[in-house]
Amino acid sequence: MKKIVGKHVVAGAITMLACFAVTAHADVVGNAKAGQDKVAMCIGCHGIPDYRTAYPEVYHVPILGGQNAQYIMNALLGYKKGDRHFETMHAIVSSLTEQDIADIAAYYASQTAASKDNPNR
Amino acid sequence: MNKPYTAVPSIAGATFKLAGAALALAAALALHPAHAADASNGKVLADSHNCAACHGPGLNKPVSPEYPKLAGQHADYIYWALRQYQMGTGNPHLGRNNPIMQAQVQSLSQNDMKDLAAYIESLKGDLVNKK
Repeated sequence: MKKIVGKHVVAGAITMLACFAVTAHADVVGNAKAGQDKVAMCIGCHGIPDYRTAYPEVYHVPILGGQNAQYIMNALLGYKKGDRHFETMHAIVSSLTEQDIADIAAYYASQTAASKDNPNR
Repeated sequence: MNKPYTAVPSIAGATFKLAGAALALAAALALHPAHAADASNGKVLADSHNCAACHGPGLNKPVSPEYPKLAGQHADYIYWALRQYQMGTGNPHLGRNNPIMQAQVQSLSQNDMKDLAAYIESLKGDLVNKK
């Protein structure tokens, strides 16, 4: 019995910590619907199957649809800050607000195999 | 009438040299063949490096939303990302700074990273290419 109680306490504590972690970043909440109107610049590369970079290395640009929103947000913020290196991404993200970044991340994260292509493209 | 006589060994010599050069070239190519990525070795590496501990089962269900889904991602992009982690902070212009990933990739050869990338691309997951 003690064991079970202990587990619940630990689980509760973890949940509380998780909630705190979420609220710490929750000042900006992504909106996938709003993101739909903000990805025009993304589609030019990430919307073209087989699109490749040219410099400094040639590779297919990553697939974004279905990716975790938090990961996309962190990646974009990394490009903005200069922790990630790709000139085009740095230039594009520099024009985005944190809200734009969150919306774009939510938009791509919400895509599934059943999603329709962006109607604004 | 000496000329044709001396010409014979010189031609033979040239042929010999050519054959030698061809052999050297063939040997060089055999030692450095374009690496055909081996997805099965990639799976061995993914298991031994415990990629699924963070990126989740099938490398498609990361344990934290901060980690990316990998299954089905382009192999050449994954290879470049792994190389960037290997450069890490040592290359301020190209490297990617992530302590966990930097530690994970240190022991990998370029061919290992290509094999891993091929394995990851071969997996089916949630990633979709949409506009």
